[in-house]
Amino acid sequence: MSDLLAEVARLLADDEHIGVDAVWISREGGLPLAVRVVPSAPEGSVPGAGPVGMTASAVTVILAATALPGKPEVGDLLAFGGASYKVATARQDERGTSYTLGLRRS
Amino acid sequence: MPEIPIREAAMAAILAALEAASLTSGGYPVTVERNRFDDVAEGEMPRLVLLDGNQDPDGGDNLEARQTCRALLAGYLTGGTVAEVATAINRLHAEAVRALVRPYGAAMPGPIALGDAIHDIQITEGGLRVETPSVVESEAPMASFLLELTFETHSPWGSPFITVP
Repeated sequence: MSDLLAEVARLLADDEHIGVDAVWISREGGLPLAVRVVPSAPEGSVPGAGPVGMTASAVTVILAATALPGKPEVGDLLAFGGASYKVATARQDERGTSYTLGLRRS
Repeated sequence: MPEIPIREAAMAAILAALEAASLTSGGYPVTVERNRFDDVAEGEMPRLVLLDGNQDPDGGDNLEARQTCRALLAGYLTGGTVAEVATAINRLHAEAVRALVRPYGAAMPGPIALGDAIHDIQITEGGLRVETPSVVESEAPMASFLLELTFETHSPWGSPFITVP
């Protein structure tokens, strides 16, 4: 089952209409690694300090667990679509097949 | 000569004092507007939004009624990093306070004239709140602040207007 889900995660990332090319660099440095990720940028209203809120978009990507030699870490760098990001959150799905990464623009 | 509600005159004068300060943040001019209630998008920052507030009677005498009025000043900023935004919030807050408490470049705290050559208001700085969205809400570092301002108006009993030329 996990193998099937891992394969689905990889297929989604490889699909030219869903996944995108990205470059991964560990926070500890080293050579850049080409990966495929499934990005998402839902836009929504977030509270402000007062009655007027802010419109913001949260950028997340899904990364197949097998895409990296190890676990993604907070502080790693990811670039795609002409923008560079720093990993702010890294959450692995229950079956260990993929990671959902919350990204902060860097 | 037109009559203007003194509350309206006061809020317009506060807005004008902020605009006159030509505030900037991170090298960008700070847009100032009033009574906006739509969300502020990243592309609209840096921005200050002045909101009319409540008022309470504060006594008076035989000649005039006094009201303690409140206004809210909300600031919205984005930047390269959360630390940069936090620093920029502190700077914009400080510059806004100076623009209102020492208006038009005054060396000392002073009043803001309401335009009729009689009435003015002295702004008092109130509490400050800061809100920073988490990364699950925004990929761009951004933050907002809310500053409470208070001032007192004096107007004839039952006629809270001023007459401007």
